Amino acid sequence: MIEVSAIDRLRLGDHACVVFDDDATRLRSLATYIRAGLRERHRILYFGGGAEEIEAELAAQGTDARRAIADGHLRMSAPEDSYLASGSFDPQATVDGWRYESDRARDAGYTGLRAVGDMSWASRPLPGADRLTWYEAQVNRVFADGFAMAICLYDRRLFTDAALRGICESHPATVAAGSDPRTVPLLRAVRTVDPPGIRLEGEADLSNRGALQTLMDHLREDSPDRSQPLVVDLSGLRFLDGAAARTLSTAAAAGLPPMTVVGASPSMRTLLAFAGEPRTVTAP
Amino acid sequence: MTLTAAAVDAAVLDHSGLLYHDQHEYLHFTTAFVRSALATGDAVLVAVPGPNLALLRDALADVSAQVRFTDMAVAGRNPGRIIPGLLLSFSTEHAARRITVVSESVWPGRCPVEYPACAMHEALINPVFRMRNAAMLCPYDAANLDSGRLHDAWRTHPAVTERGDRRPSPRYGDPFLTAAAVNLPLPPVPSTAAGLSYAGMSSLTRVRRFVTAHATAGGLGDVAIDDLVIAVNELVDNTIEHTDGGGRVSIWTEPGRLICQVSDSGVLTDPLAGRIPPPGDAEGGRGLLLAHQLCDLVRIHTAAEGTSVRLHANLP
Repeated sequence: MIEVSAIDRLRLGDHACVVFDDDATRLRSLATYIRAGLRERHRILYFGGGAEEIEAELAAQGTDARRAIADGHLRMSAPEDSYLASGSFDPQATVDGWRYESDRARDAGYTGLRAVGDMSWASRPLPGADRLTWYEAQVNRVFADGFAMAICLYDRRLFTDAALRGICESHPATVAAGSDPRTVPLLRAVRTVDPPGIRLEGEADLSNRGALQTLMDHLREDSPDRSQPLVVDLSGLRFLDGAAARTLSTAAAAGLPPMTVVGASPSMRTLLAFAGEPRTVTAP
Repeated sequence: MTLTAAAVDAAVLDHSGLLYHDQHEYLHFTTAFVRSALATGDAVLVAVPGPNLALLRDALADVSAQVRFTDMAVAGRNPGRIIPGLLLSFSTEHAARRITVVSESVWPGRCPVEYPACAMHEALINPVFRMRNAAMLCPYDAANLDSGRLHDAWRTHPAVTERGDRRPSPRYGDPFLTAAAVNLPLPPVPSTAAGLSYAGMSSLTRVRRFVTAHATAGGLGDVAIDDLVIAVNELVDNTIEHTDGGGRVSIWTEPGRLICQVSDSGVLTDPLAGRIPPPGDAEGGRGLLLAHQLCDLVRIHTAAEGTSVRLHANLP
């Protein structure tokens, strides 16, 4: 069973894969997430089925979903009526769609955009569904600006373990039955403006390898000011594995000016040195 | 004539043992080896334990600028680190030149727990450097090492010099078979050890917390705890990525050291795993290499029913 307190620990900038085993857990997680969004004055977008059921669950928890919908704070629609309307999944267009919605929410004065998608459709043979992990990794680039957040709901009964593993790795965080709420989100990666770069918090390991890889591969193009050396701030990172160190080291050394890695612990510095990119500049 | 393994090795690699009986003999042969290498323009590394390092520094004072000196008791504390961390990196650094190394990895004070890793190291030098232009002289203190150690010196070196006489070793055999002979079951995990079974990616955080808690309680220093956690995490990654099942982490202390064993159902098929850095762009193959780098000793036993990797961290 998923602990609701784990869902409540998610913040703007997070992108979590929520793996549920039963419908009651799914509904409870959804309602928790939506209510938190209303409290924090976010615009909430839900893409999935069962809107009436969700409204009923929210009502049972004392939240008037109809009112939130009427006021424009909450929008619920089926993927088949929105980003899958063409009958296929276009991952790039969907990523662009999140950027657009993020800008609209900002323009409308919301403090953030809170998205939730039921990904059950991806278990069906839909054109483009094979690019799901690519999409999940790429969409991190939207959330890493710290204004939007998302949870993606995956039904364990519909996906193979191997497929779920690839999907989870593309998210910085995964919440599943048995997840220790204290480790949620496992990794938070938010781009910074001053100094320009990225700040990593939590733990970078096999379970979020694809997410970190994509964020680092595109950090230069996603940073508005590319003339200044970018700073990769690890001071909030509790754990870095060997592959993550290589990802950071390779990205930092690729292109000019080289990025600077700051806040690495002694062991992280050993790992970065071992990763063998002599151009990686590390500072305390 | 059939080309024996020894003959192939000798074609480019000259890996020989030196069984010395006193300081005079030690200095005579090692300095002659170094000086003749310098005369032919080789890059020279002297990696021997502290007291012998001081002797050689003195004896080679006039050419010290052309020789790299390294304390083997520090750089080679973990014998599994000598090939990748010392020898291959020196060879890569001097890619265009022949390298000459005085490498003393076995000495009387070496702890018996470390010794099988030393024997495996000496055997694996042969295949790793087979195609490299290198000369390595490995001194053995024949007056103070027991006969088993000296026997292994003959088994792992294609040629041995003793009492001024250099000759091909009659006991030198296929280095992989020699290394396999050292692949023996590890002493049993004590019943008092703490244990944790794991499976799947989501167990990584639990394993890291478990190791951190027990390494802290065992008295390991902060940086050494982080290093150990990284090494264990790499091994658990290997279980997740290369086997169908899970595994078990056990942790306990012995006098002077904290030990953490990772066991799973995988079989290690490459005897050189963890000894040779994979190409720069390769995804995997670095877990054991990192474990060797981060721990004071790594002992491995692999068999059809699974593999156990035992990581040792010296207590402060």
